[in-house]
Amino acid sequence: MNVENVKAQMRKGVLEYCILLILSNNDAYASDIIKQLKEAKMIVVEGTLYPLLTRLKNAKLLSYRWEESTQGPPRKYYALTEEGRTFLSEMDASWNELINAVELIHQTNNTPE
Amino acid sequence: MKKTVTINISGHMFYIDEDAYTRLRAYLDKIETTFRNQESGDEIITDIESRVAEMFNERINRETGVVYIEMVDDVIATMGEPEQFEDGDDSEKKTYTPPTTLLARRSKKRFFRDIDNRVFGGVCAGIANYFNIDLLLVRIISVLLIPFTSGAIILIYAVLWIALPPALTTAQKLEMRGENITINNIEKTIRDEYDEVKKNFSKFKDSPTYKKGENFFHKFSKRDKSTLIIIAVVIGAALLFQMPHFNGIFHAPGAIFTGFTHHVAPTFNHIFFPGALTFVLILLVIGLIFKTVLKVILYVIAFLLLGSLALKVIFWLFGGFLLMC
Repeated sequence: MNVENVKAQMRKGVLEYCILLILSNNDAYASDIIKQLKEAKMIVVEGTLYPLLTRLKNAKLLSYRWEESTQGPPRKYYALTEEGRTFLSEMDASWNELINAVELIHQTNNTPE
Repeated sequence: MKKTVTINISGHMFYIDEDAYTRLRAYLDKIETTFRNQESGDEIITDIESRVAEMFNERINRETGVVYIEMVDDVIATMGEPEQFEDGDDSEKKTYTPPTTLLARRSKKRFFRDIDNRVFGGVCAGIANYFNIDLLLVRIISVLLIPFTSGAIILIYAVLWIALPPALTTAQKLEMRGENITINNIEKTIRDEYDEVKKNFSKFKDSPTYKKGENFFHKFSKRDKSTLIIIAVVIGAALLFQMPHFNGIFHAPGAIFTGFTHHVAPTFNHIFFPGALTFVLILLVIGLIFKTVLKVILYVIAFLLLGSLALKVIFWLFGGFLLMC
């Protein structure tokens, strides 16, 4: 078992959750999302994001609108849909459960003897 | 000094160095191959392209306005190769790797016409590719088969020409050679082709034929060439009608099977009977005097001979049908 592989798998699982989280406060366009994800070291290459965004949009969790930009071509601004919000709150709940679970296991196994 | 090309990425125009262009082109082709077969693949490709355009805009030097190879490398590194894209949805993992799973499944050899190595329709080259034998051998055998089958092989060739699809895309070319259609192979083929064209062109440019050909062949558009071919066939047909005994050649419907012994002598006698022979000789002389048209003249002669043979086959078929009725 490769450590990098497992790490990538873990990242994969939460990447969609992170995108929804980023969009929960305000709408953003692809580069903004990429910037935040990169700062958080969630993605290595930018290309990862585009298939994901399209898939989330196809699942109707995201929507987008075109907006003119001062420099370059018009940009796609992504926003959460109602379904996306419901989805996100469910994810929030299960994320907390997960953290609690991991925390609990940590504690029971790492308690000083 | 470097040559610069103009490209348009998602509505934005860039001047880009030729070497940078080649690399970018290969990269975007790769992206396209990866996502083309996915759901909403077009959209993903468009998104990535517009991001590439955006990144060029950020990096470009306003004064020169040219995209260099370093910028392309930088952008590709930021965007990542398709293999590096982490895919979050396991259910789509199978479609995510079309280069190795989806396409390799049908990496069996398929019969295509190899139009890169063609003389007429690339049928011989296609056969050579399919059976993995030497192209020259196939051609020689095919030509030898003309007298042996009393020309029926030409009809078979025509049928194959019509029936077999040409290998147009890189994927089809790989399939024709039985190579696996992976992104790396496609990349390699595209690079090979690019180098080949580049090499041939520079070689061609240096040769004295280039200047001469420029004067002469430029006047021959594709349509003119086909006109010439048609004229040749018409002349061939006209000659055929002048020939004596032209009904006698294919009188036996079984000519294909009895072949050589019965028919080789009349077939060739027939073609080289005074009329055709003189004509061919006159053409050859003209061709040798005006060397620039020699190639065209040779085409004319070849079509003259093949055309009359083909016509004979048609008449033979007709005769056969009439006999059956």
